[in-house]
Amino acid sequence: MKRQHPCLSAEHLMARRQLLGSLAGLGVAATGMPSLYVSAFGQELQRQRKQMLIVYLDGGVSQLESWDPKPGTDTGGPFLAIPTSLPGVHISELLPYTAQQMHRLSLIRSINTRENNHARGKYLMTRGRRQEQTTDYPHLGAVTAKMLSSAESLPGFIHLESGRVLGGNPSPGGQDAAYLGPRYASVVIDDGRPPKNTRRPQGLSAQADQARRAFRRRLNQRFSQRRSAATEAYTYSFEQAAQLMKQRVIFDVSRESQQDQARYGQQGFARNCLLARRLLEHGITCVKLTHSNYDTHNENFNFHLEQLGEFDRPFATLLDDLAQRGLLEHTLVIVMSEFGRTPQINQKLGRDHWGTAWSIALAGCGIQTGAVIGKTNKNGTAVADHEVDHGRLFHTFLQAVGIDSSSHFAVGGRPIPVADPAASPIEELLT
Amino acid sequence: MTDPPQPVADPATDRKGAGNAQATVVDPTQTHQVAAWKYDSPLQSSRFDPQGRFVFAGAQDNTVQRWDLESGERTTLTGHQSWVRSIAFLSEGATLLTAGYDGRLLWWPTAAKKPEPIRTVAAHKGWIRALAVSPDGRLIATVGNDRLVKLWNAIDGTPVHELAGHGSHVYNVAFHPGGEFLISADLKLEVKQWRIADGNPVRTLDPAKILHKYDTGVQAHLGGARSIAFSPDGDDFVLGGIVVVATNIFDGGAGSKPTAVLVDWKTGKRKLLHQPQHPLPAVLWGTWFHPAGFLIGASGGAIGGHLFFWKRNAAHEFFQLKLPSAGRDLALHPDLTRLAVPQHDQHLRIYSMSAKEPA
Amino acid sequence: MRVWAKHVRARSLKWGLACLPVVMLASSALADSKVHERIDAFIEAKLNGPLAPPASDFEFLRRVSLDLTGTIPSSAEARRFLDDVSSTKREELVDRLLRSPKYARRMQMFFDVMLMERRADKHVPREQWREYLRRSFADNKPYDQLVREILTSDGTEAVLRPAAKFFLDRNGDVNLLTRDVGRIFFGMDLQCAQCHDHPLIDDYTQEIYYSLNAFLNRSYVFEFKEFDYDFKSGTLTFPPGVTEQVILVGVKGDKLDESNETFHVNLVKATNAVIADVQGIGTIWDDDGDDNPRPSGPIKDEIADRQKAGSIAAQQMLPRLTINDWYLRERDGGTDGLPFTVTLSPASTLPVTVEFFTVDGTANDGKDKLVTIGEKAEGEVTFESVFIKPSEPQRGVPRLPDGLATDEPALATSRKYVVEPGPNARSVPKFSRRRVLADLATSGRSKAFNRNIVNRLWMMMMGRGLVHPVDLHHAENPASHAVLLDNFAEEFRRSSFDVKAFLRELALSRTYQRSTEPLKLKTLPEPAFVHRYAVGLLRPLSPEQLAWSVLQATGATAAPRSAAEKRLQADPKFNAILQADEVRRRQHTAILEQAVYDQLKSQMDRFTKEFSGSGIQEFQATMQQALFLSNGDSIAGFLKPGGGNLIERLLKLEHPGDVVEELYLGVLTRRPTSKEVQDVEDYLISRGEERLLALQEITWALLTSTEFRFNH
Repeated sequence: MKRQHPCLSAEHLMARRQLLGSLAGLGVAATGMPSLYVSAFGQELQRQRKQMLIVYLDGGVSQLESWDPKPGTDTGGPFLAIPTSLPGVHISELLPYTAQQMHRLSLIRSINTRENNHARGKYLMTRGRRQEQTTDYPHLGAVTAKMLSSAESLPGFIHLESGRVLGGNPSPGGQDAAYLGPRYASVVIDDGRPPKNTRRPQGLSAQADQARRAFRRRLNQRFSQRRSAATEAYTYSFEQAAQLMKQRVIFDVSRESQQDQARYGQQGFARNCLLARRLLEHGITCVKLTHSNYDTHNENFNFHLEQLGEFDRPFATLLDDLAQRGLLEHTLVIVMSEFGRTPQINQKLGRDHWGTAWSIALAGCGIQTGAVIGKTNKNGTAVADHEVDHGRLFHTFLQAVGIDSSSHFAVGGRPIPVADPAASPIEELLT
Repeated sequence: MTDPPQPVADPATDRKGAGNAQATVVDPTQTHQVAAWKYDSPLQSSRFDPQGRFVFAGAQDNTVQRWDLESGERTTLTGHQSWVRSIAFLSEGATLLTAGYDGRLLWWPTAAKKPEPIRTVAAHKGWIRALAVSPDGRLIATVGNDRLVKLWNAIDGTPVHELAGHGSHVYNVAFHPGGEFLISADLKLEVKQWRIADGNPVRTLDPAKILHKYDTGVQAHLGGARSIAFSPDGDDFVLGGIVVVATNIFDGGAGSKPTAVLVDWKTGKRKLLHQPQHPLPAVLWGTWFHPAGFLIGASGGAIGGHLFFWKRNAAHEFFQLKLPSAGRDLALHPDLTRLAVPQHDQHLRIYSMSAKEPA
Repeated sequence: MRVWAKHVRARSLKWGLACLPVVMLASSALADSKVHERIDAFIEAKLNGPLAPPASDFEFLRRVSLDLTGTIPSSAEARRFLDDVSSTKREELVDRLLRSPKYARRMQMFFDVMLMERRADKHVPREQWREYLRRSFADNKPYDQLVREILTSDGTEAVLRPAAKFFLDRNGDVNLLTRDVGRIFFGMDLQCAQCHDHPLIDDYTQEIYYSLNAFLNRSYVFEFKEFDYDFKSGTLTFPPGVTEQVILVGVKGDKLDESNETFHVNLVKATNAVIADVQGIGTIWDDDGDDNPRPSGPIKDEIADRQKAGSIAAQQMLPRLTINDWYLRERDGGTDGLPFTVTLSPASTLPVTVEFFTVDGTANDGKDKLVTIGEKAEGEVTFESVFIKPSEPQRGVPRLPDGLATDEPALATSRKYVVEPGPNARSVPKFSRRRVLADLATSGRSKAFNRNIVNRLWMMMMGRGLVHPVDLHHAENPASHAVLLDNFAEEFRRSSFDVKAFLRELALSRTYQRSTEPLKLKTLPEPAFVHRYAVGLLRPLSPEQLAWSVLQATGATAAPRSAAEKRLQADPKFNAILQADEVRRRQHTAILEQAVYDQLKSQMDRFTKEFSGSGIQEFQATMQQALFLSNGDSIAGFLKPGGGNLIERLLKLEHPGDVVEELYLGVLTRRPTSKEVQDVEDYLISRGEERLLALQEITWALLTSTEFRFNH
């Protein structure tokens, strides 16, 4: 007798027993065979390397102060709407530079995820499904890295942040690939610093490093009768480390031209935009760029002035650069949050969490340009037309980069759908 | 022996005594509501006109509302395209000035039956956050998000000076009662003193940094000089805002306090912090010096609204009144007995600082 | 035994109902060596295929050293054990390890992570807390007593104050505490049940959440403020005709350089008079360093003056009370008090009273705060589901998740407190719900509590809980061996919650000692295979185990140890340690262990920072960790020869065979195979002159090998 709750998802009805008790994909098991055997069906994909850029506005950007403004209404707030390079489409005055790039972007204004909790909202937007007790699903970036990466070289999924270490809150990274294994988990780069310890220590020559690694590998081979997902992960982490050391220069944004560094700006997010361009050019499959923080329960307008002020110009520059350099045609760009913000303005001049009627923006590979999917009503309190949710969005993201969103991963001998089978892509958005 | 407190001209807004002879004793500990007028939108600013006939309030529907204090009749003033946060008067109250987040400065006839704008000036790019009128009534100062302080000819609206130098959004401005200088204060609580005659900067002060904080967790600037007032003699001024204690800004910061920093004009140094005795996460949106020797503040935030009354040398209030909703501004009536607080729950409330009349 | 157990295996337990252990337990205490045989009986009853053989000597040595002392053995200890031919050597080893001071240290580290989950320090410094834990396990404090101390310590008494860290460093957040008490002490993660019945787990209802919450919600974090003036309150009475009264407020003078401080004397509630000036302000002027101080005295108070002068509303007939302000130079403090004069004007023919109290302005300097836990005698929790609306709010009745509750006495309101609540008073109720929680949980009658600790200790040794994950026990996630769990939960209770004895039994069992080498079998249904312990479980070292094993293997422990040894030799008390004085020998060992720990714990912290995951899922193998191990300066530092460490010792050895043996025994706790000997020798030859570098490289390879990283 399952209780009927809005937050209940369909997945729990699946056979839970098999995965019961194993929260994260890294179950520790010792057997003769690795406990998780992962293969991806549908890997007969276009060989042309597609890539992805996720720009994550952390905390929930207000759709009313960005993609879906409603000036002059009781919910619109004090900001005006401005015309864009897309005739008939207006966005908030807080995004003047992005407005000039609107012809490259498409908007989805009719999202209803029915979720107002940060962690759960973040989860469903990045994993395409609601969080479950029993199965952990991989992040969009991990799925993309898995499906689209060429033979293992650099990490396929890199997460750029800034200021988090200073704020005492660095992202742990390495936790979001679920059953795909840590090789596809995000590698976090904070403030554009290449990962620590990427230089060989003084006194260790390249040859000596090779020799000791070879010795180590032989040692591991002898031990290899005993294996588990954990030992595999451990072994692989050294391969990844070696690769990264070889190519550490790709994280050095100061190697971009002075002119470009000036065009983007010196502030953390701006510099990360340039670094994102660099990483994409160097073939990193998925770059996630986080800008913090938009959770404006308090003084929504002042804070959006500040945060979008930081976001607008570098993002517009990045989008334009990707287009000019021919990267946009095979890179999907997503600008998203965990939810939007309430039309009602609260007592603290803030807006609260709002998963009921909000927006994201998309550009690039596989996506129509200049499309506006769906709308909200006059004051943004409800979706008026073409409601979509995170399941449909996730399908759309995958299809846009050429991944068959109806395919499966084989995990522990059981097929797990790559995306929620109850949902489907938004066809009218795809080219 | 001292005389009963006389209504005093407040140099900050050039109002004269109301001539209202009712000798009500001002006793802040008896402050009580005498009127509550509801509108259709939350209200974020208010002023009484210098002749004490009306109260004006800016609303979130971009209008300015005018209530007749006697009859309670309300009139809508339309002309802005965004919120009006600043209200002031010229010519002893004959002319109303409003400045809004649409960057425009408007002149209106204060007492007309249905006021229409007499003049509109596109004063700033982005929000105008504050407005002040010089003691002699000839100059208007506006400040805003374009980080500029601008001086205008009050009569014809022509620009007089453009004062640059602030590194962040300018939140507030006030003229020194002496008439020679004005000060502006910004988001990071940089306070600049300017000479009116030539527009030259005189000093940059730093007495109220406590009202600003960069929160590394949220990666945003909190605070700013939300309210400002000079003491009647010009010896001191206060800057009001919030002292944020905890890094959780989402509820305004538990442990925080709405605070008025008392600054000595001569030295430019902080003398005292006026705060409520117990923390409450709220911003001090309005501050007024009462000639009888106390400071009044109005706050609004997560826990609603309050009025505070502080003695001039006291850190903590000698009286506070909880308001039904977050207050966003404060105005003192020229008769010095009444206050207006525009509130989030769409009400403009009038309070009297005296004993309740027996029914 | 096996057949017997199979027949009576209980099926589909409804969680919460006791299962009847048909295998009747003898009334012997847990120290009865048959306990580990019974463990094996239960485990083997569920297995119906081949079993892996026992782990080899070196595998067992390494494994049990890591599990019971948190580190690998030294090469000397390894040699001794491997060469020992006694048939009881394994049991003796276990006992030796349990006697070692490193046992208490290991348990300190394990329980620190279990109880505090690597939270940042707030009110109790972590070193004090860790020492408290270590001491508890060194004394083999019964687990029930430990938990009682942790749940009931209020932080006021020095010895047990560290135990209050559990509550204090969660900031007294009642919801966080409810969740963590549920998880850590009862094996149930009730978080989702705060707002509504858990959507997926039937057993975790909102009612259960709030029943637990009700034990905790009356407790709070209390901060005591040291005032620089005397807190005072009372009532002043003016007999008819009297116009002045004085309130004396004592002020402490001190030499601290503070900014100027104020406090207020507030007047409230007058009878037969009206309060015209409610507040007298005392300003304490810090004149340390002030050359030209103004003298103490009353301050001109404009409002008071104006009011006194009697400007006037005609309606006011009552006389008026005013109070002056006072200014005090701090050096004048420590007097009988500041006189605040309350004036009544005009004099009254009736008696006039007014109440007053002092209130701090800024005059508490906050430097002497002691944060403790207080508790109220009242306060109920109510709850309603966020989904079912409208609904009647229900009251949370204090009850353990498995239903245990107790009656609450009905106390008269005036008799509810030992210490009444008040400003600056830490309230102590006569009836403490928090104490009841502790008593009920540790009473032995709480099956969930007993099961939880047994399950966690099992997981510590075996690598996987009988209930897995360990904080998700419910009807649809039953234990893999439910009868075993219930049985030993009961045994554990009857042994008086003796942790050391239980761990001993686990270590002696065949189940624990089984090899991790996989069987040569083709098809087995994987999950069942894993959970039935036919083969030992491979498990990663915890960050602490990894740190200490690296320190031990590289010999970083040698230098602090010999330095401490030298100090002890100079101490007359320990000169005669060679005598068979067990106590002295134990003390000697303990002192050495403490010295090594103190010297190297910062290194441990570095490792735990790099290697600890977030929350429950501790293990993750990230590229960043691999980089740390490969290029970081920690390991590189340990491999620089010196202080008697491994590299230094290896350099001194002539014969390559000796080098390889010392290396493998010291790092991998085993002897090298002949192939491995060959490999190392080849490597050394190939590097020729650069012998030191070669040794460092080989050692690095061993330290970063999978074999080292995992407990096998």
